Amino acid sequence: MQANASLLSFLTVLEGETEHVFFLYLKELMELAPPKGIHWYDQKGAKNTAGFLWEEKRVKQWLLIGQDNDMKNIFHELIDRQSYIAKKDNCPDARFSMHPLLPVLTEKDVMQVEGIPVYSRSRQPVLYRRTAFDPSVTFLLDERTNCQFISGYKKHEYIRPVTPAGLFEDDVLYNYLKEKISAAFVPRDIFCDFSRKKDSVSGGKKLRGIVQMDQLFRSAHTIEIRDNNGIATIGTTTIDTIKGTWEIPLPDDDAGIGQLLIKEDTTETVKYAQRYVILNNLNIQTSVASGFVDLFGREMMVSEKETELPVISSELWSIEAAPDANQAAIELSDKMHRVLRTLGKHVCISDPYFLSPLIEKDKKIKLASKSQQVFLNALLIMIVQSGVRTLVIQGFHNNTGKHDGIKVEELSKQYKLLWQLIQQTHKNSPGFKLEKLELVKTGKKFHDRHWLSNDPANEIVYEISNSVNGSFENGQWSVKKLDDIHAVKVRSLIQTAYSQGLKTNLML
Amino acid sequence: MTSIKVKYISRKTILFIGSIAQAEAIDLNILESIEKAKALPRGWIIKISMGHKRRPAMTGRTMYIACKLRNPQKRYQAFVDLCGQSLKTRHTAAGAGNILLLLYAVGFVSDDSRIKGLEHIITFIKGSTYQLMTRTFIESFNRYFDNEKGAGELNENSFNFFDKIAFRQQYAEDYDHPVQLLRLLFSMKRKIAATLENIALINPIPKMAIAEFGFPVNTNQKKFNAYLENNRDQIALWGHCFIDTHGKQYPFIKKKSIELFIHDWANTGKYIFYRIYRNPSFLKNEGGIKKQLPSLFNNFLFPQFFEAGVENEILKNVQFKADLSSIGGWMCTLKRGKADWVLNESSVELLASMLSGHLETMAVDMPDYISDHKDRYITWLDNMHYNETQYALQLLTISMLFCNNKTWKCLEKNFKSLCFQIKLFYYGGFMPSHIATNFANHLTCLLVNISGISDENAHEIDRLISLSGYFANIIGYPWVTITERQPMVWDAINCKSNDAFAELEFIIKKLQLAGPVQRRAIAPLYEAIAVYQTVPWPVH
Repeated sequence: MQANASLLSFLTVLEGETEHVFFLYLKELMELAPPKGIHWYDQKGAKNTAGFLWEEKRVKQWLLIGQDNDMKNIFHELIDRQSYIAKKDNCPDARFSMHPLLPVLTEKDVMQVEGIPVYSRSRQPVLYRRTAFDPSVTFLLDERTNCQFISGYKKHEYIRPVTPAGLFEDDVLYNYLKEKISAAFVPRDIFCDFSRKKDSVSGGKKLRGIVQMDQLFRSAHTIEIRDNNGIATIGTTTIDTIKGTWEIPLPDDDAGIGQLLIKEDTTETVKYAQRYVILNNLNIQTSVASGFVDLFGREMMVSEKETELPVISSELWSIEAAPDANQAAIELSDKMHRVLRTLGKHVCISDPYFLSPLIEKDKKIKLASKSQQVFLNALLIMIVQSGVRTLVIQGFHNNTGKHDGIKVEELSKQYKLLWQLIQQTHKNSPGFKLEKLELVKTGKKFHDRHWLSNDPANEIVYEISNSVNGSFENGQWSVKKLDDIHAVKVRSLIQTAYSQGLKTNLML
Repeated sequence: MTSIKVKYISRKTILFIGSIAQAEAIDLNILESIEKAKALPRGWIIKISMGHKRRPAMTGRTMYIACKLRNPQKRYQAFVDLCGQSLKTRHTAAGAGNILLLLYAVGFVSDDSRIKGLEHIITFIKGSTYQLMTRTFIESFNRYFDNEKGAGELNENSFNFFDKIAFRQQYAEDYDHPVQLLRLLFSMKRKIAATLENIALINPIPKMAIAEFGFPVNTNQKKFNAYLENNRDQIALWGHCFIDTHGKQYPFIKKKSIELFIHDWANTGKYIFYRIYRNPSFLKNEGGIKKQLPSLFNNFLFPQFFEAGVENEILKNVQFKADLSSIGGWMCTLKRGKADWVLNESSVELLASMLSGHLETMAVDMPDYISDHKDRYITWLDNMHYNETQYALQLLTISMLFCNNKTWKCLEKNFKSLCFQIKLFYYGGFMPSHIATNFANHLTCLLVNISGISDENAHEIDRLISLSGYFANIIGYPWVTITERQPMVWDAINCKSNDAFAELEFIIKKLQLAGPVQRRAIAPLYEAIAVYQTVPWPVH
């Protein structure tokens, strides 16, 4: 019996009386279609109504299963006509709308690249793209955590995951929406598995595998093994129609790397292709990891290996995008951390208000605001993850009403607490390599906030929208990488201010 | 005091020792105090112990005294003499404690010399003062350890609680830690200090720090049993000490005490039970009274499981994986030669209710396994290659088939719901589909583990046909097509046994070996395989 069922899922945002579909997902299943035709799941369209996944954002999921063709028809109707009306007896109609989409041409489609040396898997998802980003789901665009809540890979008390949780692979929704992809069709693939064995008769090596298809398919197709470049044929064989198994002897010097093709006998069409590597000697790189608890109570792992993240051209955070205030704070902190991680091992934070006042209570820092918690958390994680060697904090006045500036002694006393906090958090961490923590009070006032790398090989300068103390409370925060000319100008200003400023070594 | 002149000892030291001997409170940071007062004898220096990274519960640092000058032994002896003279003159209980703490911290003489010094000093302390000093030490150490950091959930007087603390504490407090002075005080005057009452007064963390090296208790079998009977809250502690002896013997723990441990099932007995029956080699390395543990557990458990009309108390509150695996382990030891023991009604009903409830929880929790909110690896029984797991499974299958109709209806409903949930998860990405496969295999294990049924079990066969029918109708197709992708199915001859596929191996073996009655009882499963398979399954 051949699988013939497909699952169709609409993710929608309720707009007036219409459900605006922002992500359409059709998947061919290893399943038999329900005998009574299309089945809409309970609370997912069964009575033309669906419950909210995320009530505040009006997000719903509609889910139905049926014969492959029936599901494809609905899928294409939505894409072609940009609308679909679900009709059921004794139920009000459910109306769906969708923006125009264009199919994405994939170069990896094996059906079109026969003869090209490297094959990929045979059946890639068929994707459809919008011409512009969908403004109705800004809370999901470039918001990985929110997409994980919806996809089911993370849990949130106010957000229900799609059914079934994990319907989309992790990050699929996040990546697709970021690429403006609003519809995906995942076709049923041919299942083929194999491994290298020792031939008990000849003593040589062989590949032994299976093709999980019906007998008709097996009798009409041949297996071909090519070398790594896809040029020379190593062997061909037929498939055992009953068992689905096949075997191909390999040369003695087989490197364990090559390509496997399933070809139709009559037309020579490649129906399936896979590049394979059989692991001979595993070299596993080990690096010791240790952990610490961050300011949000999360267990963070730190590897001995220092890693830098790719440079970010811009980043935006809005409190509106997150499901609750705590999650919003975590998101902001993680975004700040990602930006800081691109700065390398020598970092300068130039902010007229420094890191806002540090308050001491019982010889420990008492965080002045949520914003401070958010920033300090990002800073603490960055110090060990990037293996930061020098950190310079440059400012002019402390926003405590003393707008003519603050005495250096008072400031140093406050900021020694920061060194204490860093030590407490990371004293046992292998990634902790901070050699210099310097506080610089500039001679002149300045206004703009910048984060920059002090590494000569890394000329990044970011412009930051808010001071540390205002980022979270203002509800918006953004960062922009300066272009080369502006970066040189700003760096020059900051370096002049640094050289003329009063410096304090906080590590003493 | 000022008139004393001792070689190697300065006047400041003499004054300091004189003052601390009359202190009203024990100063656990006495080394810091003596250093601050600049009263250390010449050449003596305070050093901070290497210190283990994991010292979650300590509020201060551990230090010791070093000396690099010549004649360390003489210098030490001079100091001991000075301390002795101070105590002889006048001292309080806390003051005597302070002096002992100082002497205990001396790290530049041999352990023997140090202990001799301490023994010499305590000859100056009267019995009543010694008793008071011991209590004062207990109070001080109770304050010194930060219980919240070290123990988490406090006031939980169970074996498990002490076990958690012992695990966190191991290697954290070394032999030289001042808390071990308390153990020394117990052992030096057992009769007046090492009483069970005193031990009960110590907070869990310092208590477990001492327990690691053994309690030098002054008691006998009769007194100990009487104490436990009157102080039932102490049973868990002593149960833990009994199992985790670290080579220390407690000769007063005999059969009667062990029975008390076992009968305190929820707090003590079941944890000892886990130790023995989840780790079959546990008793192999043990001798003495511990060898009697299996027979004592048999005496307690056997009637509850097998005597008609007896209520099974231990199954009333169980953890699916931990309890069932241990019970399975215990059944393994019983099995030989007594194959016809029959579970009593109470056990069958309780097991069936537990299974039913667990199936319901599994269905509800499935999304949480994707978000890693719950651990899917502890949802079901252990590896099916283990005998104890197979016995535990046998218990579940028997309970499922023989429970009363009311429990059966509930179980049937939950089995069906779980099948529907699994079906949906087969449609997901890699992880949900993987979980669906695992869960479907768990259910299949329940269905195929029926070697004992015969034609006489018509009622039970009906139940099996019903369950396997639900299974085949709801998830038969995805289960067959996804499962047969494993080499265990399509390449059975070449495939070696593998722990990762122990459950599938068990299923195939059971399907292969099933007799005609068994095949009839789960006919829908065989039919599903026959109809949906694309490769021949090795089950015929």
